Amino acid sequence: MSTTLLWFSSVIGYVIQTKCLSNIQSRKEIPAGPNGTIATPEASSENGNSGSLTFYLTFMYFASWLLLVPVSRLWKNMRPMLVSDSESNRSSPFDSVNGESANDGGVDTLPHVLDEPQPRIAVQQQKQKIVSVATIKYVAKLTVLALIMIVANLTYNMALSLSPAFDVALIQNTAIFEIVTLLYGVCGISRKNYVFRNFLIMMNAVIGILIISYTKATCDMLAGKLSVNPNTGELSDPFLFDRLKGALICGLGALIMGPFAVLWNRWFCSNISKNENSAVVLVKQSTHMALIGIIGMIILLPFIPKLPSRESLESISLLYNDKSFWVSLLGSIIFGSLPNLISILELNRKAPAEYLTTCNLGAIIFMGLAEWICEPTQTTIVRWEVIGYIMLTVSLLVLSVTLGEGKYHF
Amino acid sequence: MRKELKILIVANIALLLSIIHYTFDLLTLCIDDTFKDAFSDEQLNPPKTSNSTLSEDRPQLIPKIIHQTYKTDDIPEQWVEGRQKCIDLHADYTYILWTDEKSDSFIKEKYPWFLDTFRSYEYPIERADAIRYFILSHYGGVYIDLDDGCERRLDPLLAVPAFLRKTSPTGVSNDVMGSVPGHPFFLKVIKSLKHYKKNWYIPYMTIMGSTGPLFISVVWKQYKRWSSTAENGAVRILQPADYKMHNNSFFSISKGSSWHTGDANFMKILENHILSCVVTGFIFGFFILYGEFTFYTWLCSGPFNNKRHYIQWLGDKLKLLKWKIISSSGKDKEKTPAHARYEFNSKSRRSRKDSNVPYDSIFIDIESNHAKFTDLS
Repeated sequence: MSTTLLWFSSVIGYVIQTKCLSNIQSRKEIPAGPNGTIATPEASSENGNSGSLTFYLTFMYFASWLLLVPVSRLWKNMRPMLVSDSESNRSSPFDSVNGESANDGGVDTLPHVLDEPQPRIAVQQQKQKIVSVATIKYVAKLTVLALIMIVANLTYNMALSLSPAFDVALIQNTAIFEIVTLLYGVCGISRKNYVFRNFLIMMNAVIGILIISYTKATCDMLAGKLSVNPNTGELSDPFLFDRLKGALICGLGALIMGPFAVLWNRWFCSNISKNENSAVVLVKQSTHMALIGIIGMIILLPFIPKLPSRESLESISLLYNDKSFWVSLLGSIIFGSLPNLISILELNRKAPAEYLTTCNLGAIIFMGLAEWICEPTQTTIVRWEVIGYIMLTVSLLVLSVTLGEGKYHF
Repeated sequence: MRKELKILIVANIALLLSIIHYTFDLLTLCIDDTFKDAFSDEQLNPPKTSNSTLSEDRPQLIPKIIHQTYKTDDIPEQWVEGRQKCIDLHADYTYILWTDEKSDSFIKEKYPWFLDTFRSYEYPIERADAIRYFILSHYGGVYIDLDDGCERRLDPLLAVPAFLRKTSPTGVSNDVMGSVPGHPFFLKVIKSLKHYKKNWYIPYMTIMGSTGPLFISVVWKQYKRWSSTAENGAVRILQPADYKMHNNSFFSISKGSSWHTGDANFMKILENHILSCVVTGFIFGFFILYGEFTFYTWLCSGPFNNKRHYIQWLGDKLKLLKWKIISSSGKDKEKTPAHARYEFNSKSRRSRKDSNVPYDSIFIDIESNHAKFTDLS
């Protein structure tokens, strides 16, 4: 599959995921239960369920990572149908061998089995000694990545409960774009070609983002002005500081994605041979991700609503009975998170690592488009906003060309 | 990773940590937790019983004194009405107007250790701010700015050991305050005044940060964090609706902010776009850090990276210059300029890594009987 298609899949997946999660977080009411009570997130805050919706959504996000393994296997099986003959013929003889072995034996999660082919006797010895140093190291790596992802996801979900989806997408993607670009450069993951030229283009892009954020008429957060109502002496927009809090939490929380990207590339991408079958690599990486998801879920378990309480059980069952909750959640997983993650994994291998940062810029543009399409009442566009989008789009196109130079087409 | 890059990273982390350390109290102001300490509606508007209200039954901790400050005894016309309303509503209260002269003698007599600082304040409003903390700490009572007129009796506010009012966008203000004498919070405030006397070069920032609302908000945050806020040490917060412009508000406002200058308007514009400042902050951070990285990459790729090469290049240039001087004087006419440039340019003397280089200087075929090796066969 071409990198362009993967890019679009990643960006659109992110937009769907964010819109669906925002839809869940912004619901005012949950339908009445059998006894006629109406449970709202605000009303149930005394039971601790309001905050736990954020934890619950983060938990579900990690749970969706378990689907990555079957989806990537499905992807692997469908791959011959998706790629053209010429592309299939280009694969090396090692591909088929690796592909078969993965098909036959399944994918072992131990790193020394996944990444370093060893003699059969050595493998048997290691199977006898399950708790080896390599396994502990591997679990430690996964735990570190899981902890990072928990922070990033919790802040993302928390921000979605405080701010509109576009605001969150804007600040999160800006933060991730900046930190990943910087850390890839500093840690030597990205190439050092045309650094100054790229710097100027990136500055042009972020200034475009600033203009959008300042002038966007439909954007509640950044164009929201702090003004005091002269009649009451109070803030005209009572939720202004909630949104400020949301922006700060989301932006600062997203910065931790920089170390995640660097560690992921160091630990799970640097030892991949170019001869290795891309589908097998995808299955391996999906397995890592699924394990991170499991560890994340285990860490989050204590924060999930306390089930023994009768009130919380009723409240949760009301939440789960709500069809719109499940439709939005499933929509965010099936059409959002999964395509987004699979595309990111594929793009990270097929294109230079720094090329992925363009997805963040794309997500802002597409989120703006989605807002414009999905919110029929908020279609006012001001001139400077359009200029901001043009600046961002031009920078994105130039960066896609320069950062994507030398894409590998398998 | 290169040593220089490590130094750069460590320097940036150190800078970031020091910024966080110095602005920590300001950062904590982003979290608005005034509701926890707010007066309850029952406290401020107690239900009336047959003979009296509950507030009358409650012990009143703060003494019945109203303090106000101005330069002289001649109060500007726009504030006369509000001031008179306060006096009329509180006939049983002691009223004190603190003029500049009276304030100076008070500090001189009671707090001589602060006199130098008090007199050295650049702006008169800083002295007006500072004196209110001292008088509340010393005598107790309620301090009210002259632009705040009273709308109802202050009795319900006297039932707590100390109170401040919440301000917008965040923190507390110093225009209406009340306290018992020697309250630990106001003792902390007067002790902190010397430390926070700094010139920020922008008058608005200097006043706000040294004695004004920003100063008292920061000290209040510190007090809440480190000090005991048990019943006697508690500081209650008057919420905006209880402060002004509502049915049961205590005060009404006439035109104030007499000390605001042009820079205050600029600060207001910034406040109006407070949220886009978040994005600006992220972008500014990226500009600085990635700019540093770009500069570092340029340094690595430039001639300064290889000192030996740079010195050699400089030496060649000097030799060429010397030759030009000599040749112009006619001593060495045999060499052509091109020949000289070739001779004094170290780059030109490098052997080329291409096919023109003789084969045996790149690789010696040890299987053939080369003159340099012993034939082992």
